[in-house]
Amino acid sequence: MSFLPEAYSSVAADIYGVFYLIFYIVGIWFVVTLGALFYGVFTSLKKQGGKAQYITGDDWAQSKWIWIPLILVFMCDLLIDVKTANVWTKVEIAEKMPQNDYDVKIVGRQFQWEFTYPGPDGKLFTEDDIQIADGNDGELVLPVGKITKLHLTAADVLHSFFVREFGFKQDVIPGRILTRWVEPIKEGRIELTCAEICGPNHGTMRNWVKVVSQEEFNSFIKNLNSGKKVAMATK
Amino acid sequence: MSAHHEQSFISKYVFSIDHKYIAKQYTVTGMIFAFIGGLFAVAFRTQLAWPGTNIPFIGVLDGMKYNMLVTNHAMIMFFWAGMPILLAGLGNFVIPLMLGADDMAFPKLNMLSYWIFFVSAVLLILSFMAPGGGAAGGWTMYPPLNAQQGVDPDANFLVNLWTGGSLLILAVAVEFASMLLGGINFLVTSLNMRAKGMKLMDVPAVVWMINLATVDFMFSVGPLISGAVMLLFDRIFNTGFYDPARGGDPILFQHLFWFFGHPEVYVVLLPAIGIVAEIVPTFSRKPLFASRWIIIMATASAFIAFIVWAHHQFVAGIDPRMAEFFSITTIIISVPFAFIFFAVIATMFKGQIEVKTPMLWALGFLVFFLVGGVTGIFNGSAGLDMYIHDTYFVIAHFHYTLIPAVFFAGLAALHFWFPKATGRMMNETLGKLHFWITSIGFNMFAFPLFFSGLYGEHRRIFNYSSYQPMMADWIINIRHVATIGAMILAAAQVLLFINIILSATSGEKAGKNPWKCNTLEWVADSPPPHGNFATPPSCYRGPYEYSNPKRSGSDFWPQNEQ
Repeated sequence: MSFLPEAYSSVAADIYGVFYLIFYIVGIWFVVTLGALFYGVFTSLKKQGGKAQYITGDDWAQSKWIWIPLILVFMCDLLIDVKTANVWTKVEIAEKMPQNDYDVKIVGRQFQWEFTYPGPDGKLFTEDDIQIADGNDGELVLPVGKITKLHLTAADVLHSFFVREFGFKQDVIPGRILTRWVEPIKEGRIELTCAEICGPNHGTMRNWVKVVSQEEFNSFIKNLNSGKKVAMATK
Repeated sequence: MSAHHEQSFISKYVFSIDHKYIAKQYTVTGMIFAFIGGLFAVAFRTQLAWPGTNIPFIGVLDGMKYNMLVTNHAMIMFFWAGMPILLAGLGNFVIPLMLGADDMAFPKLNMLSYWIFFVSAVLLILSFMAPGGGAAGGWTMYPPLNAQQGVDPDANFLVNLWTGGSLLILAVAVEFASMLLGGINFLVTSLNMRAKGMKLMDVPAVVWMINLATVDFMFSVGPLISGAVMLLFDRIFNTGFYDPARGGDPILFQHLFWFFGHPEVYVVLLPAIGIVAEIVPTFSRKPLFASRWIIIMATASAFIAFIVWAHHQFVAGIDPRMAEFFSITTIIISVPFAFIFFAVIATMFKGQIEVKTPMLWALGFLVFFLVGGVTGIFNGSAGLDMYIHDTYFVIAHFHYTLIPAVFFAGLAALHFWFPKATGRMMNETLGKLHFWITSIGFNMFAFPLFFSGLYGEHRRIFNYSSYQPMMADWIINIRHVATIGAMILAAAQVLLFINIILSATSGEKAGKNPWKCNTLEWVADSPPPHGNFATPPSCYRGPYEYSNPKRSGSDFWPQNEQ
């Protein structure tokens, strides 16, 4: 289905895979059930002098017509459960998180996103961290093909980190740092939005994610550390 | 059994203790609020389709006004339309009549329940008049936003009480007190006041479902009220229950809210299924297929409803391992509902179906609810929910569950029991026209949203011009179509209004049992007098003995006939 956005992260295809699996399974059930419904109605419309059959559905000979489909529904449910749990585990469970190459802290604040990169010491959550707070123009710069750990939090109220091309979102909570990861697979500039209502200007809380090549990323970090107002971060 | 005297105007029409009149009070109040809530939706959908439109009485919507309208649209539709109509209105009307009782077990409590509900409605309206306007933090009222919005921490508590957010919390709490009183009445009446000979399995499915819904409500509402009180205290007494800076936890509120919020969906859904389970056999002239198992499955779903709540919180920052459990329970809940659905379809096979308006609305429920049901699997899958959460896909999904439940099943019930309530039939032609226009409007509005949701359009955004992908031509077209659909849906309700007025005043006389139905309410006069039955009926069999070959000369067998 081309309605799903182009994948920019390594997990988006897995997440879309859950969609397709469910779509085909429930699509078939939907068509069959609706077909049975219409067939039942149109073949049983009232006829002059017709008589309805007395079918209570109490014995197996009758009720098997719904018990057997029900068992099939249950089996389809299990199939979906397994698939969705696998994808969820891959993306969300901390123990399964791959070794990361970079760290960045992301803060949601009414009504913008702010990004903090490690300073010259290369470690996040130290004194020399460098923050980018450019209103709604601020860009989260990520290197393509590398795994970046996202340390997500909020300054005031709940927000939700949502990059549709990455295929997932994560609510951010004041007072807590949640850790997720992303491996961008495609260069480009995409939107970072807030998907949790956060006040009157929730509707304008949009920043950018810029996925760049390793060289560009290196020079971005270098410029950041040398205190230059990074040329590429603004455009 | 007490004698039922002549009543004065006040005791008959205002402080009535007659369950049928209280049912009408609830239903009419609920319908008025449904219309207001619908107009809110038309207003904010107009802003979405044509940003900057000057909307009559409201003006141009900015972010705040937009949030206020979406917040209160949901609140009104759920708590002041869905619950009063499907639980309080329907339950009050059908429970005593279908059980062969003269009234509810506690008629005065019943009256109190409506008037407490009325107070809650007044509080709701007052919340719009507070400085700064109504609540605007989303209907889920998540803190910290909803603990802060409109609040001045230095002001005295009365000032902070007189704000949209605080008054709305108060209104909801009062409304729940009213529904609790009603619920006590439902359970006690159903357990103790059944007609002589009526075993539990002879109780019609709709009464079962209303009671299951009541149990779900009563067992889940406590945590919500405690959560709401803490939120109110955060607002008016500057406490820090949900403020992380002061040791509080915003996620706590979400658990308390959804522990109630999910069963609450079943509070509205189960009565709707019950309605359809009454109407389909009646108009198919066949027994409800595997009716005993329908009750068992509905009971199972009412229990499972308590262990799925965190599926609303997959991406909220809960321990991700929890999502695995809640994803499984959520998807498994499709099993009991699939059973009920299959059984209702099986009921129609080899029947003699007459598609009168109640049946038409019931069929509409089945078809459209199926869309809502299957799309629930997408949302319930944690692995996919992390993408579609808070997008229009979710909006489309729950409008395909709640509109079929409240609108289609609710209107099926209205058309079905209207002759009993007023003594007159509703107009079939107008009813069918109303059905088709409503269906067209509803599908035009809700179906396209699945696609914009999959594309990643997220909700509660008053103007998408900040987002490039959301300004693609086809997305803009979808917003236009959906908005026009919502307008058609709202406008179609004028037909309902005309039909009710015309039919109530000059409709064809109904007689006692116009649908040739088995249940006990059709033994009473139409409309039943205060006290319902001339002589208390006895019950000899289950409610679905249609076309039983043992019964000669008639294709139905009323529960009270030997």
